[in-house]
Amino acid sequence: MNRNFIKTVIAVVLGICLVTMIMTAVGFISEAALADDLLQLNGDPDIVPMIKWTALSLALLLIPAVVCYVFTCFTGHPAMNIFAAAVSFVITLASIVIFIVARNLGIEETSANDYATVSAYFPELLQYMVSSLLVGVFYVLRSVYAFKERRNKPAQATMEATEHEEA
Amino acid sequence: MKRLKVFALLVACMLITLAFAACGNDATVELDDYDYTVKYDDYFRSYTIDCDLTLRVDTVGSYAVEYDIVLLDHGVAEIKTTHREKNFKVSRSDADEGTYTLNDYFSIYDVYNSNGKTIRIENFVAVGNDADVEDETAYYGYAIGFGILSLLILAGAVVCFVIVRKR
Repeated sequence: MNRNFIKTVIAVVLGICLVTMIMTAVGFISEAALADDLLQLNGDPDIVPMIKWTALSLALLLIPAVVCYVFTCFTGHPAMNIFAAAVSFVITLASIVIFIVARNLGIEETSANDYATVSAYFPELLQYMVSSLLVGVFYVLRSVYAFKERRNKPAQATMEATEHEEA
Repeated sequence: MKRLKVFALLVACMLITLAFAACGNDATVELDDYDYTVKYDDYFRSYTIDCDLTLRVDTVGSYAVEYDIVLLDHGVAEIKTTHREKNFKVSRSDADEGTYTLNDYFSIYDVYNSNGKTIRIENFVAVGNDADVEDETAYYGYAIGFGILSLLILAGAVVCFVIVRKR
Protein backbone atom coordinates (compact mmCIF):
# COMPACT_ATOMS: atom_id res chain seq x y z
CA MET A 1 0.00 0.00 0.00
CA ASN A 2 1.11 3.53 -0.71
CA ARG A 3 3.01 4.84 2.31
CA ASN A 4 1.94 8.44 1.73
CA PHE A 5 -1.70 7.37 1.68
CA ILE A 6 -1.32 5.63 5.07
CA LYS A 7 0.40 8.70 6.48
CA THR A 8 -2.46 10.91 5.26
CA VAL A 9 -5.07 8.59 6.77
CA ILE A 10 -3.25 8.55 10.13
CA ALA A 11 -2.91 12.35 10.08
CA VAL A 12 -6.65 12.74 9.37
CA VAL A 13 -7.62 10.30 12.14
CA LEU A 14 -5.28 12.03 14.59
CA GLY A 15 -6.70 15.43 13.60
CA ILE A 16 -10.25 14.21 14.13
CA CYS A 17 -9.27 12.75 17.52
CA LEU A 18 -7.66 15.99 18.65
CA VAL A 19 -10.62 18.09 17.49
CA THR A 20 -12.99 15.66 19.25
CA MET A 21 -10.98 15.91 22.46
CA ILE A 22 -10.97 19.71 22.39
CA MET A 23 -14.70 19.86 21.58
CA THR A 24 -15.47 17.37 24.36
CA ALA A 25 -13.38 19.37 26.83
CA VAL A 26 -15.34 22.51 25.89
CA GLY A 27 -18.51 20.46 26.43
CA PHE A 28 -17.21 19.38 29.85
CA ILE A 29 -16.52 22.98 30.86
CA SER A 30 -20.00 24.12 29.82
CA GLU A 31 -21.50 21.10 31.60
CA ALA A 32 -19.61 22.00 34.79
CA ALA A 33 -20.72 25.62 34.53
CA LEU A 34 -24.38 24.74 33.96
CA ALA A 35 -24.59 21.76 36.33
CA ASP A 36 -26.21 23.85 39.07
CA ASP A 37 -29.21 24.39 36.78
CA LEU A 38 -30.07 20.75 37.43
CA LEU A 39 -30.30 21.52 41.13
CA GLN A 40 -32.86 24.23 40.35
CA LEU A 41 -34.91 21.49 38.69
CA ASN A 42 -34.56 19.29 41.78
CA GLY A 43 -31.76 17.18 40.31
CA ASP A 44 -30.12 14.71 42.65
CA PRO A 45 -27.67 16.48 45.01
CA ASP A 46 -25.25 13.55 44.71
CA ILE A 47 -25.16 13.30 40.94
CA VAL A 48 -24.96 17.00 40.05
CA PRO A 49 -21.73 17.73 41.99
CA MET A 50 -20.22 14.53 40.66
CA ILE A 51 -20.85 15.61 37.06
CA LYS A 52 -19.71 19.18 37.77
CA TRP A 53 -16.37 18.36 39.37
CA THR A 54 -15.39 15.33 37.31
CA ALA A 55 -16.16 17.18 34.05
CA LEU A 56 -13.97 20.06 35.20
CA SER A 57 -11.23 17.59 36.17
CA LEU A 58 -11.18 15.98 32.74
CA ALA A 59 -11.17 19.35 30.99
CA LEU A 60 -8.19 20.39 33.17
CA LEU A 61 -6.22 17.36 32.02
CA LEU A 62 -6.42 18.44 28.39
CA ILE A 63 -4.34 21.61 28.98
CA PRO A 64 -1.02 19.85 29.70
CA ALA A 65 -1.88 17.21 27.10
CA VAL A 66 -2.22 19.79 24.31
CA VAL A 67 0.96 21.56 25.49
CA CYS A 68 2.71 18.19 25.39
CA TYR A 69 1.46 17.44 21.86
CA VAL A 70 2.70 20.85 20.65
CA PHE A 71 6.15 20.24 22.19
CA THR A 72 6.27 16.81 20.58
CA CYS A 73 5.49 18.38 17.20
CA PHE A 74 8.35 20.87 17.66
CA THR A 75 10.99 18.35 18.70
CA GLY A 76 9.92 14.95 17.33
CA HIS A 77 12.19 13.38 19.95
CA PRO A 78 11.26 9.79 21.00
CA ALA A 79 11.21 10.79 24.69
CA MET A 80 8.66 13.53 23.97
CA ASN A 81 6.59 11.05 21.96
CA ILE A 82 6.55 8.63 24.88
CA PHE A 83 5.62 11.45 27.25
CA ALA A 84 2.73 12.50 24.98
CA ALA A 85 1.57 8.88 24.77
CA ALA A 86 1.69 8.56 28.57
CA VAL A 87 -0.36 11.75 29.03
CA SER A 88 -2.95 10.46 26.54
CA PHE A 89 -3.22 7.17 28.41
CA VAL A 90 -3.61 9.05 31.70
CA ILE A 91 -6.62 10.84 30.16
CA THR A 92 -8.01 7.49 28.93
CA LEU A 93 -7.59 5.97 32.39
CA ALA A 94 -9.18 8.98 34.10
CA SER A 95 -12.16 8.78 31.70
CA ILE A 96 -12.58 5.06 32.42
CA VAL A 97 -12.45 5.63 36.21
CA ILE A 98 -14.97 8.47 36.05
CA PHE A 99 -17.21 6.41 33.75
CA ILE A 100 -17.27 3.59 36.33
CA VAL A 101 -17.88 6.02 39.23
CA ALA A 102 -20.71 7.75 37.35
CA ARG A 103 -22.36 4.47 36.36
CA ASN A 104 -22.20 3.08 39.89
CA LEU A 105 -23.67 6.28 41.30
CA GLY A 106 -26.46 6.21 38.69
CA ILE A 107 -27.37 2.63 39.60
CA GLU A 108 -27.23 3.35 43.35
CA GLU A 109 -29.80 6.13 42.99
CA THR A 110 -32.41 3.58 41.78
CA SER A 111 -34.33 6.26 39.93
CA ALA A 112 -34.70 6.27 36.14
CA ASN A 113 -34.49 10.07 36.06
CA ASP A 114 -31.21 10.09 37.97
CA TYR A 115 -29.78 7.37 35.76
CA ALA A 116 -30.86 9.35 32.68
CA THR A 117 -29.00 12.39 34.05
CA VAL A 118 -25.84 10.33 34.48
CA SER A 119 -26.17 8.49 31.19
CA ALA A 120 -26.30 11.82 29.32
CA TYR A 121 -22.69 12.20 30.52
CA PHE A 122 -21.56 8.83 29.09
CA PRO A 123 -21.22 9.67 25.34
CA GLU A 124 -18.84 12.54 26.11
CA LEU A 125 -16.78 10.33 28.39
CA LEU A 126 -16.61 7.63 25.73
CA GLN A 127 -15.57 10.14 23.05
CA TYR A 128 -12.83 11.45 25.30
CA MET A 129 -11.73 7.92 26.16
CA VAL A 130 -11.53 6.65 22.57
CA SER A 131 -9.92 9.84 21.19
CA SER A 132 -7.22 9.93 23.84
CA LEU A 133 -6.58 6.21 23.39
CA LEU A 134 -6.10 6.64 19.62
CA VAL A 135 -3.81 9.64 20.14
CA GLY A 136 -1.83 7.62 22.69
CA VAL A 137 -1.44 4.71 20.29
CA PHE A 138 -0.33 7.13 17.56
CA TYR A 139 2.38 8.57 19.78
CA VAL A 140 3.55 5.10 20.84
CA LEU A 141 3.95 4.15 17.15
CA ARG A 142 5.67 7.45 16.43
CA SER A 143 8.13 6.94 19.25
CA VAL A 144 8.95 3.46 17.93
CA TYR A 145 9.65 4.92 14.44
CA ALA A 146 11.64 7.78 15.99
CA PHE A 147 13.80 5.27 17.90
CA LYS A 148 14.35 3.22 14.73
CA GLU A 149 15.33 6.31 12.75
CA ARG A 150 17.75 7.36 15.48
CA ARG A 151 19.33 3.90 15.47
CA ASN A 152 19.68 3.86 11.65
CA LYS A 153 21.03 7.39 11.37
CA PRO A 154 24.50 6.84 12.93
CA ALA A 155 25.02 3.66 10.86
CA GLN A 156 24.07 5.51 7.68
CA ALA A 157 26.35 8.41 8.58
CA THR A 158 29.30 6.01 9.15
CA MET A 159 28.68 4.28 5.81
CA GLU A 160 28.54 7.60 3.99
CA ALA A 161 31.76 8.74 5.70
CA THR A 162 33.55 5.49 4.69
CA GLU A 163 32.38 5.83 1.08
CA HIS A 164 33.59 9.42 1.06
CA GLU A 165 37.02 8.40 2.39
CA GLU A 166 37.36 5.60 -0.20
CA ALA A 167 36.51 7.98 -3.02
CA MET B 1 9.25 35.29 26.54
CA LYS B 2 5.94 34.97 24.74
CA ARG B 3 5.87 31.23 25.44
CA LEU B 4 6.62 31.86 29.08
CA LYS B 5 3.66 34.24 29.29
CA VAL B 6 1.34 31.61 27.79
CA PHE B 7 2.55 29.05 30.35
CA ALA B 8 2.15 31.51 33.18
CA LEU B 9 -1.41 32.17 32.01
CA LEU B 10 -2.21 28.44 31.87
CA VAL B 11 -0.76 27.85 35.33
CA ALA B 12 -2.68 30.85 36.70
CA CYS B 13 -5.92 29.49 35.18
CA MET B 14 -5.34 26.14 36.86
CA LEU B 15 -4.50 27.69 40.20
CA ILE B 16 -7.66 29.83 40.08
CA THR B 17 -9.70 26.70 39.30
CA LEU B 18 -8.08 24.87 42.20
CA ALA B 19 -8.74 27.76 44.55
CA PHE B 20 -12.35 27.85 43.38
CA ALA B 21 -12.62 24.11 43.93
CA ALA B 22 -11.15 24.34 47.41
CA CYS B 23 -13.60 27.02 48.57
CA GLY B 24 -16.44 24.66 49.41
CA ASN B 25 -19.33 25.97 51.46
CA ASP B 26 -19.85 24.02 54.64
CA ALA B 27 -23.28 22.51 54.90
CA THR B 28 -24.94 22.60 58.30
CA VAL B 29 -28.13 21.07 59.66
CA GLU B 30 -29.81 22.06 62.90
CA LEU B 31 -32.93 20.81 64.57
CA ASP B 32 -35.48 23.64 64.56
CA ASP B 33 -38.68 22.03 65.79
CA TYR B 34 -40.55 18.74 65.86
CA ASP B 35 -44.10 17.55 65.78
CA TYR B 36 -45.31 14.04 66.57
CA THR B 37 -48.12 11.61 67.25
CA VAL B 38 -47.85 8.64 69.60
CA LYS B 39 -50.35 5.82 69.17
CA TYR B 40 -50.68 2.70 71.23
CA ASP B 41 -51.48 -0.61 69.56
CA ASP B 42 -53.20 -3.00 71.98
CA TYR B 43 -52.70 -6.05 69.82
CA PHE B 44 -48.91 -5.64 69.41
CA ARG B 45 -48.49 -3.87 72.73
CA SER B 46 -46.43 -1.28 71.02
CA TYR B 47 -46.22 2.45 70.53
CA THR B 48 -46.08 3.80 67.00
CA ILE B 49 -44.32 7.12 66.80
CA ASP B 50 -44.80 9.33 63.75
CA CYS B 51 -42.46 12.27 64.09
CA ASP B 52 -41.78 15.19 61.74
CA LEU B 53 -38.50 16.95 62.41
CA THR B 54 -38.13 20.45 61.01
CA LEU B 55 -34.47 20.90 60.17
CA ARG B 56 -32.70 24.13 59.33
CA VAL B 57 -30.55 23.61 56.22
CA ASP B 58 -28.52 26.09 54.22
CA THR B 59 -27.47 24.27 51.08
CA VAL B 60 -28.30 21.33 48.83
CA GLY B 61 -26.57 18.06 49.55
CA SER B 62 -26.79 14.73 51.29
CA TYR B 63 -26.85 14.57 55.05
CA ALA B 64 -26.95 12.08 57.87
CA VAL B 65 -28.46 12.83 61.25
CA GLU B 66 -28.49 10.90 64.51
CA TYR B 67 -30.67 11.53 67.53
CA ASP B 68 -32.32 9.82 70.47
CA ILE B 69 -36.09 9.71 70.87
CA VAL B 70 -37.08 9.44 74.50
CA LEU B 71 -40.54 8.11 75.26
CA LEU B 72 -41.88 9.86 78.36
CA ASP B 73 -44.70 9.07 80.71
CA HIS B 74 -46.72 12.24 81.39
CA GLY B 75 -43.80 14.30 80.14
CA VAL B 76 -41.56 13.34 83.05
CA ALA B 77 -40.54 9.72 83.56
CA GLU B 78 -38.37 8.22 80.85
CA ILE B 79 -39.68 4.87 79.67
CA LYS B 80 -37.49 4.03 76.72
CA THR B 81 -34.78 5.74 74.67
CA THR B 82 -34.35 4.78 71.02
CA HIS B 83 -31.35 5.81 68.96
CA ARG B 84 -32.25 6.87 65.43
CA GLU B 85 -30.10 7.36 62.33
CA LYS B 86 -31.46 8.84 59.12
CA ASN B 87 -30.02 9.83 55.75
CA PHE B 88 -31.68 12.37 53.52
CA LYS B 89 -31.07 14.66 50.57
CA VAL B 90 -31.85 18.34 50.49
CA SER B 91 -32.95 19.61 47.10
CA ARG B 92 -32.82 23.18 45.82
CA SER B 93 -36.41 24.02 46.79
CA ASP B 94 -35.77 22.92 50.41
CA ALA B 95 -32.51 24.83 50.56
CA ASP B 96 -34.22 27.98 49.26
CA GLU B 97 -36.88 27.61 51.95
CA GLY B 98 -34.13 27.04 54.52
CA THR B 99 -35.94 24.10 56.10
CA TYR B 100 -36.31 20.40 55.45
CA THR B 101 -38.98 18.20 57.03
CA LEU B 102 -37.67 14.78 57.98
CA ASN B 103 -40.27 12.16 58.71
CA ASP B 104 -39.48 9.33 61.11
CA TYR B 105 -42.00 6.55 61.63
CA PHE B 106 -41.24 3.60 63.88
CA SER B 107 -42.58 1.38 66.65
CA ILE B 108 -41.46 0.66 70.18
CA TYR B 109 -42.49 -2.77 71.48
CA ASP B 110 -42.96 -4.25 74.95
CA VAL B 111 -44.24 -1.09 76.58
CA TYR B 112 -47.45 -1.68 78.47
CA ASN B 113 -48.71 1.58 79.90
CA SER B 114 -50.85 3.43 77.39
CA ASN B 115 -51.68 6.75 79.01
CA GLY B 116 -50.17 10.19 78.49
CA LYS B 117 -47.16 9.40 76.41
CA THR B 118 -45.01 12.11 74.93
CA ILE B 119 -41.63 12.10 73.26
CA ARG B 120 -38.54 14.25 73.51
CA ILE B 121 -35.64 14.45 71.06
CA GLU B 122 -32.17 14.48 72.54
CA ASN B 123 -28.54 14.38 71.39
CA PHE B 124 -29.26 15.59 67.87
CA VAL B 125 -26.11 15.33 65.76
CA ALA B 126 -25.84 16.11 62.05
CA VAL B 127 -23.20 14.09 60.28
CA GLY B 128 -22.11 15.70 57.04
CA ASN B 129 -19.77 13.83 54.71
CA ASP B 130 -20.44 10.56 56.42
CA ALA B 131 -18.83 7.57 54.74
CA ASP B 132 -22.23 6.40 53.51
CA VAL B 133 -23.39 9.83 52.46
CA GLU B 134 -21.79 11.56 49.51
CA ASP B 135 -21.72 15.32 49.79
CA GLU B 136 -20.74 17.91 47.20
CA THR B 137 -17.41 18.32 48.98
CA ALA B 138 -16.64 14.66 48.35
CA TYR B 139 -16.20 15.46 44.67
CA TYR B 140 -13.92 18.47 45.13
CA GLY B 141 -11.22 15.87 45.61
CA TYR B 142 -11.48 14.85 41.96
CA ALA B 143 -10.97 18.42 40.73
CA ILE B 144 -8.12 19.08 43.17
CA GLY B 145 -6.42 15.76 42.39
CA PHE B 146 -6.68 16.16 38.64
CA GLY B 147 -5.63 19.81 38.89
CA ILE B 148 -2.45 18.83 40.72
CA LEU B 149 -1.88 16.02 38.21
CA SER B 150 -2.30 18.52 35.34
CA LEU B 151 0.26 20.85 36.92
CA LEU B 152 2.72 17.98 37.37
CA ILE B 153 2.26 16.83 33.79
CA LEU B 154 2.72 20.39 32.53
CA ALA B 155 5.89 20.79 34.57
CA GLY B 156 7.15 17.42 33.32
CA ALA B 157 6.44 18.37 29.70
CA VAL B 158 8.28 21.69 30.05
CA VAL B 159 11.29 20.02 31.70
CA CYS B 160 11.34 17.27 29.08
CA PHE B 161 11.09 19.86 26.26
CA VAL B 162 13.93 21.95 27.67
CA ILE B 163 16.20 18.90 28.10
CA VAL B 164 15.46 17.63 24.59
CA ARG B 165 16.09 21.08 23.04
CA LYS B 166 19.40 21.50 24.86
CA ARG B 167 20.68 18.16 23.58
